[in-house]
Amino acid sequence: MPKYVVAFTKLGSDNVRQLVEALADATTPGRLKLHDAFVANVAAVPLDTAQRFVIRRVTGSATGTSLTPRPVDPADRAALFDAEHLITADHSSFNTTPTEVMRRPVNGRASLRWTAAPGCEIVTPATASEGLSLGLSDQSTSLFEGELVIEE
Amino acid sequence: MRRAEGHYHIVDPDLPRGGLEIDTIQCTHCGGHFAMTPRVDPTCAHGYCGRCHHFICQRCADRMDRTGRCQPWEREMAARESRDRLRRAVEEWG
Repeated sequence: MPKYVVAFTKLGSDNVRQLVEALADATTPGRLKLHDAFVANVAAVPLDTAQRFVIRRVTGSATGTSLTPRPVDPADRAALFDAEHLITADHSSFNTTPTEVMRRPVNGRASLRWTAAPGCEIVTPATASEGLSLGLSDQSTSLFEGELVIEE
Repeated sequence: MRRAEGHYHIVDPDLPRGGLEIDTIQCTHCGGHFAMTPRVDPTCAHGYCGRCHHFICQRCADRMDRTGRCQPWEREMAARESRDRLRRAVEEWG
């Protein structure tokens, strides 16, 4: 199964929790497997405070900018799933009664990478507009960048 | 502890060796990952399902205490996908 890199950015002008999301396509949904997630605060002077990164299951799209997942192998087909970053408004499923699949607090100056062992990826069902979102447990106006590696 | 099913790699200039690696275990009931201390006594871990014989996260352990139900994530996904296929078929055929 092909793997895709979803490189994302969050701007300081947006006061949101979600940093990036990947959702199964509404018409041809497929299972998504999250292999690898990397995120770092890229503000000029990151605050020396705790930031809690979370990965939650989402059932709808946030308000943001679509991005095109890049195949790890250029010979692979284009991704069917939808990805968004530069999010300006969170989706309600991320904020209210979320299903959290990962939570890691780290210092604001630290970068966080999570990798799954083979066969232990975080998987989403092949149902329309269901997927995963990486974000923060609290709203933030800081700048973040990172990338996800997702198999479809 | 069984073998790690994932790893956190934290790069932090304030930590003694500039970083930290933490193993994670996957919860079979929700598919999520949680950090776990190596060689911890399973009874001190978040939870353990005696039916599917795997560690589970605290939230799933609490739910299992209430309901006594073992629902592996793979089975839950299959059920959701089946419902979604039916819904889309109904929408397609009006």
